[in-house]
Amino acid sequence: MIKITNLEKYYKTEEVKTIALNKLSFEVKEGEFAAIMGPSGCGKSTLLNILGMLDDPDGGSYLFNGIEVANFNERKRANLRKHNIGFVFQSFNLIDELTVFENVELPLIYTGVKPADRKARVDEVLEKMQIMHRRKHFPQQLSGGQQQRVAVARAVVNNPKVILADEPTGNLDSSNGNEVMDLLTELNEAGTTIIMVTHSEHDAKFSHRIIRMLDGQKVTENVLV
Amino acid sequence: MFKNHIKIAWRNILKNKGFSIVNLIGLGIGVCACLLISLYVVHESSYDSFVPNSENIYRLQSPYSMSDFDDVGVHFSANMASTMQSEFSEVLKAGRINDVQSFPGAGENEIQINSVPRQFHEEKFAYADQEILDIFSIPFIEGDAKTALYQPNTLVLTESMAKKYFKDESAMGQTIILNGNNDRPYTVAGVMKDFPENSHMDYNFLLTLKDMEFSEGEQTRWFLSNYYTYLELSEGTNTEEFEKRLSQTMIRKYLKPAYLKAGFDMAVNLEENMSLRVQPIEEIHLYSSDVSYEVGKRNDIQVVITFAIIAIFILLIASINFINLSTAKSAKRAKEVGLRKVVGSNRRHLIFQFLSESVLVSIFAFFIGFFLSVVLLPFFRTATGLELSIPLNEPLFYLVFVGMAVLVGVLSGIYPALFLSGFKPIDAFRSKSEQSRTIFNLRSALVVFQFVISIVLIVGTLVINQQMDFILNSKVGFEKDQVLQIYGTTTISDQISSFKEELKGVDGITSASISSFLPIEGTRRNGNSFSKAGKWNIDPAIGGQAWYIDEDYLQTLGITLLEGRNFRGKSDSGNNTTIINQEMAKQLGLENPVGKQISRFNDLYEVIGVVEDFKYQSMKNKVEPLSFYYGLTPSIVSVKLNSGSVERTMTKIEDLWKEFAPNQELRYEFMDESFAQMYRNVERVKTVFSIFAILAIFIASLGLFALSAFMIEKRRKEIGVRKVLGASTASMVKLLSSDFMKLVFIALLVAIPLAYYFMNSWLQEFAYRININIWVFVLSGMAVLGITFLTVAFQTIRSSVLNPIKSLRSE
Repeated sequence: MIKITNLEKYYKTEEVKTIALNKLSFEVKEGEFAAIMGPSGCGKSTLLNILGMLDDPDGGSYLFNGIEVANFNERKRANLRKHNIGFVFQSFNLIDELTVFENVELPLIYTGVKPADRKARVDEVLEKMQIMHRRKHFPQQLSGGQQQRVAVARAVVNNPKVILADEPTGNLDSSNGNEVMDLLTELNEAGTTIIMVTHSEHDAKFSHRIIRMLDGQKVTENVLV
Repeated sequence: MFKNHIKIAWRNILKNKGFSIVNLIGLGIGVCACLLISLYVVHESSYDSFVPNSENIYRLQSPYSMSDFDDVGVHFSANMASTMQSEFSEVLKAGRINDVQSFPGAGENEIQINSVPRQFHEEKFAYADQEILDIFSIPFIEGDAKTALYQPNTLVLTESMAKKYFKDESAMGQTIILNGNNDRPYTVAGVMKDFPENSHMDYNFLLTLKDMEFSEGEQTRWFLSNYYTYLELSEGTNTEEFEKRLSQTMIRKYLKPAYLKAGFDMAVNLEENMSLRVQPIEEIHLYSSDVSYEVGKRNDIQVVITFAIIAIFILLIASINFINLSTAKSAKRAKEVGLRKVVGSNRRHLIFQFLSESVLVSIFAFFIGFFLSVVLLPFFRTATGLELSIPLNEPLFYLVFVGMAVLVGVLSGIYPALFLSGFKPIDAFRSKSEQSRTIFNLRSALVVFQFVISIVLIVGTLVINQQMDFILNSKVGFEKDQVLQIYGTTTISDQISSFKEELKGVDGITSASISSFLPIEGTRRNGNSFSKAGKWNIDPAIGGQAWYIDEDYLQTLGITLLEGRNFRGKSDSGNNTTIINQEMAKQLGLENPVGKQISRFNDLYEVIGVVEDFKYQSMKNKVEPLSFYYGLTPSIVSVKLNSGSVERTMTKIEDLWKEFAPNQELRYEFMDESFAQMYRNVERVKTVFSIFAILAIFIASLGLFALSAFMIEKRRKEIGVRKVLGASTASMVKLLSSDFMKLVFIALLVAIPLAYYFMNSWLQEFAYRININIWVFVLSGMAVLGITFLTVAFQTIRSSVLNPIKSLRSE
């Protein structure tokens, strides 16, 4: 599904060049649940941004579903992204001016789904995430756990092949956190590939494989059973 | 998709109430100002466009230039029209109008209906040919427009006059007598529609020119120029080529020989000095400022252009608020942009979304502006003196209005849209989306631009006000206070001397004088040529006025006699004596004028006195040569009142008037009011200019207020930290306002030369004018600095009195 080879990314200021990713290589197969761990500043988030096609690498290769996307321009990336990738963020990142329903509906609007189909699909996902009763509320009116469930609903509404989750439980208490992890596990069991960046050993245990990083490089890879 | 955009736009408007209010109110006021000014501009540009076939109708003009004298004449001899028609096949019709007041019947009259003795005063009389009705296709209510002025002694009056005097009766065939002249009764031969407000012609009564000859040879002499001449040219006439042939033929074949024969030797060079032009009637209203001696409510294209520019500037200032506030609050929208991109939006979608928002705001603002305009229209009508109305029945109006709303929305939204949609999603998520330097500079440039416009407008307002004060209060060389002008005294001309004598006997009246010539525009004028004695036709003559006055004139109007003597009375009648002004003496080069002789045309006059120059025309013009002669011109009696009870004196004057003219109402005006009337137009420009200058400044301040709020919001943490470290509120105000103050200084540097240039060229219109004083700029600069400082200081103090912990915690 995802294969990166010798991926490189630098950040340059006027005088200093910081290496964020240093010839990083790994592969995530379709249907896999991979966790990426490491201390702050090791390049986890940079990696996730590149995998999510929000940023482009400075070197190396990135094959998504067998297609080389490292040199894609913004438009091509956006197009590939909206059909294939869902995002879940630590800080939920819902649009405050839109209701729960409208937030979840947004990706469907951008992929051109017809209004009637959109409503059916959004209702289905909200039902599944058990926040149907909150569909007309605005994000500020929800608890953190509920907000993250909305974010997950938004990430999956388009049936993406891959979900990229950046510390999805980072802003949640443990019980809400577990609920979100259960949701991700369910999605994975239903066939969605998941790549999750986390600090939490507890959360990492939900995955099949843990990739540990330090200074932009892969240190170890543990396969969990 | 579009619904979603509208929805989020609406919620954004509601969520950022302060921002939205500034945008909506600012833009709304801008739209209102723009709409009102547009009504004015459209009205002023629409003159005579309602005339069918207006594109082929012209008025004859003759630009004339001599060494230091340039003028454009619009009056021609009586035979010009018919001669042109027989000479040139492209002249389909030619017609004349004579409204020169010295022709009895033209201008103002006392009228009697049928044989009823009661006299009414009416204005706007002119003599006209039947061809005028034809050329202008003047619509008729009664009578036949094709023949109405075809018979001698007929007249056509307007619908409103017909209603006034004949009510529901038909006006046709009724008799009207002018100034008690029973020998020449006029028969009403037609009722025409009133001339629309945007007509350069404005008459209530058209008297036929058929068989008229005002004096011997008046209809055939080429050098007696009293007629406006209108032409209808055949479709597709090349006017430039036509004018060339017209000038050649008419001047060479007719004018020059006639002038030379009459003894005007200067006409030798007439072909070089004079030409004939045809002016499209639609241009008469706005492009006749070079024409002197024209009565009517002409405007100057410069004034119209100035107002149009102000309208655009006001809208620009409001739009700049929109741009600045949108980019300033970009940080708040950055997250949303990032998210939308993450879930699949591309840049096009986002640009479209932001544009929908700005168009929505703009449409709202246009509605607010529309309703404001409806409410303010009556005041604007008073300010402009025009019957303006919003063309609600015109579909085009709605189209243009909505089109403008969308255009303003797109233009003011495009920059923020491009800017916001350009955020990269990963940058957008970093809590501080860095403002690039270029944005700040662009915003500063726009703020400077707003300040520049504001400063120029403030300077403009101050200078116009000063100039007006200068005109109204400056020494004019005559006493205009406590002087009463009694009009319409022509009807008692046989007893006018005894009326005057009795007036002089009334308690409270210092003196009284009979003369139709007064230093007030709209009273009688004439043009004469003068030269030193014996130099007639040898030296180039000078142009000047020849006024007929009585022995009490100088005293009544407080005009100073510098040397020589005043007229003594009837003994000076016909004895070829004259009193001249200083300018006349100067231009004729007379060292000690008293006792010398001057030529007026071919006649010699002895100078018996010299008066100090007094300003007898609008101060836009320099005082020109003037000479007085003893004689009775009985249409106006001027009365000087002493400072006692004006009311009691007025009652006595009215009683006296009733004795002399029992059938005519007393019609009078105080001279200081008539004097102010001369400057009504400038006064209006002043009012309108001041109003819109204040509006522009208000909108700019509104924007500044909101912008500084955003800038300070962004620096809340800094303010908190500084406070924790011990900064005082005063030092915070200084720190935060200095950025804006710098912009004001830059704006001042740009605005002062600009304002100086514009106002100086405006002042050139006036022969008597103020010098632009340095303090005008100081005051304008202080005003803008003050407004800026107060605005920013208010915001700073508000945020710096907050508990710093609060601002730090919220980070």
